[in-house]
Amino acid sequence: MNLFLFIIINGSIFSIDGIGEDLSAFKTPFLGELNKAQIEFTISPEFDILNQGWDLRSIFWTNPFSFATKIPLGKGYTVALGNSERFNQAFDLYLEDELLDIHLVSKGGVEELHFQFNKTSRLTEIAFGGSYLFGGAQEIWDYHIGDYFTVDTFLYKYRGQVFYSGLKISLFSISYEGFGNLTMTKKRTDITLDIPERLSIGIAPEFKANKFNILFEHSFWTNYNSPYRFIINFSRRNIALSYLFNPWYLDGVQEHGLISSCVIPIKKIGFCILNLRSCMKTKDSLREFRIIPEFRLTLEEIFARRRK
Amino acid sequence: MLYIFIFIFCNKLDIGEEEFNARGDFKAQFVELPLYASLTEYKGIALGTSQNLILAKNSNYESRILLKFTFTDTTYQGLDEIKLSLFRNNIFHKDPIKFSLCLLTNSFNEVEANWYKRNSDEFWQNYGGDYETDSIRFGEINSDSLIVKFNYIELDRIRRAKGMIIIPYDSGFVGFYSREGGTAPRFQIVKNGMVTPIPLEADCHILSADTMPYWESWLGSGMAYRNYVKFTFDTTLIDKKAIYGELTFQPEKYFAMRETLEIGVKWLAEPLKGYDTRLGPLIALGRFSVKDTIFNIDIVRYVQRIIDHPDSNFGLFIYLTPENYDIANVKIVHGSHRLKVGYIEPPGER
Repeated sequence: MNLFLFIIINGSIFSIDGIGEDLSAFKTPFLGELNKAQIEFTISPEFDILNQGWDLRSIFWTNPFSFATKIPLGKGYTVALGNSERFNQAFDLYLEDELLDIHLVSKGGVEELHFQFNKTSRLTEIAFGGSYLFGGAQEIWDYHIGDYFTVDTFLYKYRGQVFYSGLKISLFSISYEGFGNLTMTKKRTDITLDIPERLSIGIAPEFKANKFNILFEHSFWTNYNSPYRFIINFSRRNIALSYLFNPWYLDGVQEHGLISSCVIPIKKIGFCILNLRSCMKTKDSLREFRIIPEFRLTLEEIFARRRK
Repeated sequence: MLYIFIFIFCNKLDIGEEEFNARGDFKAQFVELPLYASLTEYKGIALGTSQNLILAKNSNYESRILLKFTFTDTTYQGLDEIKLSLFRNNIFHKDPIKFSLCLLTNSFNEVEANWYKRNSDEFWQNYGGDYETDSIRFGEINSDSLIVKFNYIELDRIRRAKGMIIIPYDSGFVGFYSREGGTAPRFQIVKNGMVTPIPLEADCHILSADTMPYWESWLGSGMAYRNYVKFTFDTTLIDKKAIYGELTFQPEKYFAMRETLEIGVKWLAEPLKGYDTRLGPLIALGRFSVKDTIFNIDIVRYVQRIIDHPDSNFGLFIYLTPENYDIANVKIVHGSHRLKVGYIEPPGER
């Protein structure tokens, strides 16, 4: 069971800019050694609190299920398939000028359908994969002046792909993601964006039952900032704790996060992971706090056993 | 705990509003478009699809009701009662009015008939309908329904006639439901306690009305007066997002059968060619008291249209809607039209 935690945090008001919140940070292609096929379902309700000075405001929503499956083919070969969100563009924001009020609600983003192929031996793991990117976002701009209001809708559609690979030798790992692009269809125009390249270097030392996992990452954007970020993870038996520092590709946005995690085995079925993620994003005096209690259920070859 | 939940989760504070700067500079701005033209177009429309049958008369209007029932049986005998009923629409004022009921000598098409023509091709021999000079009944309407009873001889005359016409004989305005309005006029024959309804084949009213000077600004139903207005486009609006287009105008005087009026606005899809100029969709609709001293309608869709297509600024028709519902008119203070536009710089796309 790999307790290294992926950061999938959704819906930030900072995602009004660029192509939204980059949810691929700290994702690596390594699956670990698998003897049984796994099917994984995840649900993540989200509590999001905005703070500026003494003001607080928040929203709550439940992210849709995500799904992943990992199938060992024997002799250390494994394939994995699943879906997840790549860039999130969901947020809810108000503006009050002297005479003008605007309420902006944005939903959707860029989804990905990933497929990867891994080979694991005693000390090494090598991975290749790619993702088909798709999806769409909808922004509803609600303008008010006095008693009058009007509504505008912006629609975006996305199509694209990105590829990745990784190599893990003993304690050390390196992974790279690149050759990606995304076609964005707007009302009047289509544009093609380059997906940032991402280089991750990790080290995972173990001291008896204590495991550490440190990952440094650099993301190469062409039109935005190219941030360095890291995550440190400590796990012992079924408990894990992580800290992350994630400056965004957008100017001035910084994110600090804490993730606690617990794995609960379920006899003859698999296991479930309970994650409690909390993070704080800041930009000048604006803070965004987020708490995501995530429930992830993993079923292990339950159908194969029943056939027997 | 509940208060904390509501305070944090249900408020709409503008926290983080500076993030909007990533998408544009949002400030409310205003401009008033100058009036270029205001005039009146009118048409004596057919009123056969109206929800009401109007019986009316004053110095400006006269409206008569035409009815035609289909009698299938030619040997009505032993009848207890023969009666015609019309039901008043109580949304209208309840004027008492004297009338005569006459038999038509020429047929009519309800969706084409008007004061001058009995169908699209043929004129009445006498404007206002061709009918027998001897009326079959006189009466006065002063209750919620009009009920006229007939005898055998009158029934026979009605069966052989081309229909009936109800003619007002003094001033007043009464509105009955038409077939389209729900409670249609009924012609019933009662025999041994059994009521046999006679099918209504056609019902409409025909209207004679004054025409209004072209250069004045009028709205009207029954006789449909449309107020054409055009505003000069301001180039500062190019590439802007209109939030509202507040069209206001002042009534000078009015005539109405009820307390409220519905005013609609449509844009012209081509340069003005009279009443029948091709129009766009209904872009604004408002209900007003007839006693209002100013009418105010948001026509932001029109404003945004001329921002996006400045060469399509062909003007607007302001009109009473539905134009065939009743008889009403409003004279607008000439030159009182104002169009104030509130707009912003539109947000940029991602």
